[in-house]
Amino acid sequence: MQTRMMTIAWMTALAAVPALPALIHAQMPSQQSPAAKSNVSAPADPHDLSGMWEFFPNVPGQGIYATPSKDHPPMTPWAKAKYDEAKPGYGPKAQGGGNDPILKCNPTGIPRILFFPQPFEIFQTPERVFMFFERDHAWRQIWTDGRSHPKDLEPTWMGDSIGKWDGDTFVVDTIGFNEKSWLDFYGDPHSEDMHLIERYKRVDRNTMSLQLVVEDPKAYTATWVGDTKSYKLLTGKKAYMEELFCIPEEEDAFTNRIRLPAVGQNPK
Amino acid sequence: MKKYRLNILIAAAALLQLGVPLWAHHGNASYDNENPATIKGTVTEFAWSNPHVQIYLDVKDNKGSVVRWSVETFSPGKLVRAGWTKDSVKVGDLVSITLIPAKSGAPVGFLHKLVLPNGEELGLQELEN
Repeated sequence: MQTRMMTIAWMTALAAVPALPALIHAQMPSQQSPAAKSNVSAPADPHDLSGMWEFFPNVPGQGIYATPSKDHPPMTPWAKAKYDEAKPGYGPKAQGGGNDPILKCNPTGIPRILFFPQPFEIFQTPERVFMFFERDHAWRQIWTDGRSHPKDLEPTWMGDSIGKWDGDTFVVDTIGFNEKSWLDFYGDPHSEDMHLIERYKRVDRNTMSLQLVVEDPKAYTATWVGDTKSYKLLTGKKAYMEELFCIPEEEDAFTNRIRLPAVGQNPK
Repeated sequence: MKKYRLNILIAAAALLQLGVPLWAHHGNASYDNENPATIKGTVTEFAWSNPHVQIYLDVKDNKGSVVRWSVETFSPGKLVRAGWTKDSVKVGDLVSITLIPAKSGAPVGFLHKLVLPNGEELGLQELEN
């Protein structure tokens, strides 16, 4: 009898395996159902940021592309020296070619990857909010279980993030960055002391806004308050992200075939 | 290099209709946002790869000489969301491409719109308005 009971228990367990993802999904109160996602007229839960979001530079009311706001705060001499070394492809110092670290496939890093006109998917669990980025095939985690930042953080590209809801705004607090990435496309630098605050809000079903604040006294003598960035929800067939790893061979080939000829230089 | 420009049909009317062009924000300093142009030629290669998809085509200039153009556009993922596939363009296709040309005068450009031999148009618009 005991053997038979065990068999039934195993069969029941095995039968449940294919349904596991659905079961997990059903147990996540903050996850949108596919039906809700496709129903554009349905009201959105303001505490539900899940879905695939993309930054489009030309939607109405959009903040400036590629940088937190039009002008950076005054720089310290340390930051000014780094800024002067940067040769970006965008912004007031834009030029062809250049020494943008992402051309060598360095990770784009936070917050710069948030300005890319390529989508990221937000996935919420009770303890963490995940962001999966098309760019770099990168991801980050934002702890929402009430923990604090660990002490003696090892600096990283994405930093250490903790988040909490302030009314209908999801506030992300991140420290622990390395200083290898550019803060934006313009070549503005940041240091390991950067403290980043991101405020996400679901404005309506298809729109999420972001305001970010950069505090980095080693680089800037004042707080950098970004303008409001707007992200659109991708639905149906548009809810697609490709596998976009940065491949050095592809970057080099593209540089030789397009970037250098475009500026009148011979391939290397 | 300037002679290549002579072969270009300036698409001023198209620019006026578009308002703020998509590429004005995404394109980089190498390209002349203010002077979009349209070229027509035969595709020699369609490189569906990152960081940006590339189309190479042979275009006859007004003296009958063939000029090889190199045209880039968005990443494959963005193009899929705009309705393209990896098979949208084939070698040998006679296509018309509206682009912003390189400031250097080299036959290089950033694609805004492509018209296939059957008249189908492929653009960069990911969002439905």
